[in-house]
Amino acid sequence: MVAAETRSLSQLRRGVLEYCVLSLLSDTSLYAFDLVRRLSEADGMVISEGTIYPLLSRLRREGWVSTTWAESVEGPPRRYYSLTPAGERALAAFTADWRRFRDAVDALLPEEAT
Amino acid sequence: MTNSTVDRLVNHYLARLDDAAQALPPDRRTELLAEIREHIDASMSGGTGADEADVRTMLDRLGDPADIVAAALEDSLPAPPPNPDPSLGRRPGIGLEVGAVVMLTVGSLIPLGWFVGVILLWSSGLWRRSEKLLGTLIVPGGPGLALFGGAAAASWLGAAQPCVGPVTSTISGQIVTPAQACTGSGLAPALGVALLLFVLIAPIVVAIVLLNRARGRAALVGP
Repeated sequence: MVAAETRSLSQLRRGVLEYCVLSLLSDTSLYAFDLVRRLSEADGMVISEGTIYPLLSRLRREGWVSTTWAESVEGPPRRYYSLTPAGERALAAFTADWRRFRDAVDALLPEEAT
Repeated sequence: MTNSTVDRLVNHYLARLDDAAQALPPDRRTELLAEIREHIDASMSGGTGADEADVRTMLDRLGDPADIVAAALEDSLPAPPPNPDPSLGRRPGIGLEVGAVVMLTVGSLIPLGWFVGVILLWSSGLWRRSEKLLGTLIVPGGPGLALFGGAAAASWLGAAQPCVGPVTSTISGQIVTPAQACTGSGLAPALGVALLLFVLIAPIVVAIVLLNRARGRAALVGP
């Protein structure tokens, strides 16, 4: 059922998407377009690329990411996103929570047919 | 070249977005439009150029302006205070719930203690109705009353055997220790002991379950 899959996926996405953003920024800073494209390349993570921008805006307001402008070779200057120390802490906390949560869910779900 | 077509597509999309974004606070609206425009510019300045098909695909991937604005509305709700330190975050207390559980078990040894426990139990918002029923029904009166009642029952069962049972009046609340109960032969004493164990252990098990659920829910609610 496509509709059912979409609903549970969209509920899951709602909770984890912001941490996926933080994770993409953990080693390197990215400009928004790249960040969005890399997220949408992850299967099932993004349906509408435009909806990531409001999320980025919230992460900025929460102080988890910061932005700097940089000139680009072609086209207008780009805004680069990077992780703040608070963002790093949030990501570390989520990573630990996620592992625990994932293991618990895996233990409850029927085993995958191999 | 189809530059004019491309421009028309982009302008049409931005106009739809601007229209939908009227629902947003003015600063959010400006910000969102600027970011989407930046995305479009970045996409068109890429090496692949910008023919009509590319632009259509790119706008498709951006998604319906209404969806983007809906996401912005959700995200523009008041943000939590920045950098909340989890160790400093106050969890909602479960003092009421701890009190309820203590009164339902240990508290039942004092007069009216169990009733206080029931009142606390039903005034908590962290338990379901079924859980409150469970807490009330296992065991009515709590282990305290059950202890007295169990002892009385043991005596009574013992009395059913051909041994004298002068303790039938103890249901009124007078303390009767199991030692006083008739320890006549047969199944009755064993039944009595089993019942006694049940009424002592079951409320404690229920109390632990209730407390765990309250703790779990309080943690979910967050600070």
